[in-house]
Amino acid sequence: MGYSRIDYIADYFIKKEIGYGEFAYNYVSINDNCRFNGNTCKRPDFFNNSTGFIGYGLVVCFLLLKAPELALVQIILETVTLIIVLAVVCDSSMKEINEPIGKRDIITYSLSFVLVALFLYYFDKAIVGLDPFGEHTLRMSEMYVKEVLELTGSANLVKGVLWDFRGLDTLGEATVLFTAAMGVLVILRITGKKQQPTKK
Amino acid sequence: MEGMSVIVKKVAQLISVLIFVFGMYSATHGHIAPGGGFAGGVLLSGAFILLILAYGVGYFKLKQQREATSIFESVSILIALLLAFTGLFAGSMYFFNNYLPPGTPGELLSGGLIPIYNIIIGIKVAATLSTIFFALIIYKEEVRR
Repeated sequence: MGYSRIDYIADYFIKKEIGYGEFAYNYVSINDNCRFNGNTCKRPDFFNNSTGFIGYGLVVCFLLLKAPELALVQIILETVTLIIVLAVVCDSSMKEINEPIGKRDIITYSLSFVLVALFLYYFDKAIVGLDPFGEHTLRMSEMYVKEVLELTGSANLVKGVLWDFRGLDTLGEATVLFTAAMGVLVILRITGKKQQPTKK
Repeated sequence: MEGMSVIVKKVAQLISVLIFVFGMYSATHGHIAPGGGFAGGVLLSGAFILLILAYGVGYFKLKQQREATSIFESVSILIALLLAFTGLFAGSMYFFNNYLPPGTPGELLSGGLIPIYNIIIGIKVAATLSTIFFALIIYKEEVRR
């Protein structure tokens, strides 16, 4: 069996063939090419930078929206994801395509800038109307706490909300698990389609 | 992956039964006690994973197991969806309609459809986590071969 990409990443983190400091040096600090075990590949800078930028931008948004615990989770998640993405991208044979900027590119870029500006404008308008931190107005949850027992008959409040009031959300949660299993099965599939037996 | 020593095997045998029973309890009593389908499913799959870790891979026919768990996973989420669809034909006609009578809170048969959903999602989560675990083990074994 060949030495596949997932094995490579797993070995990277588990066996610690090289230290994490060297990892960071190899993958982050060198701008034009990144090296690993003698292999060189073009680093698609735009991809990495944009994923990191969006993730850490979300952290700022969460902080402005007064959700510090979500921001903490996002920081950890973003860092781990960025490391994994960098490892995968550097190992792959994907190369950055250097094409001249055409008319369509100008339209898409300007449109995205306009959309971001619009989003930021309405975000700025919206966070003014928020309640101060720790003093939320309870709209739905008050009703949930008071009436879940007589409406659903479930003594466990959480299950009453999950399977009665918020059934669709829970279905989505279960679907996420389903998708995760599908992803694992597809990625870790070694034997693909059965090869047709060649006639002699 | 070889099995572990005799002590570990015996202890895992004894403990996994308790974990399995507790998982069943957590899934079936989800509407009157802490726990529920998700937690119960994780416990159920944990019992199997503990056994496999103790006894090693060669003891079980993992490929058949994985196919079985995949089927269980897909079928159980389909049943949950169909059960949610039955709400469209009863009472006030909306998705995830809890049309069975709520009963007296605190008893085992109460909460309408909630216990049924809990049991189904318990099976689903157990099957999913086992599938992922089996897939990882099978991958590792086949790469090593």
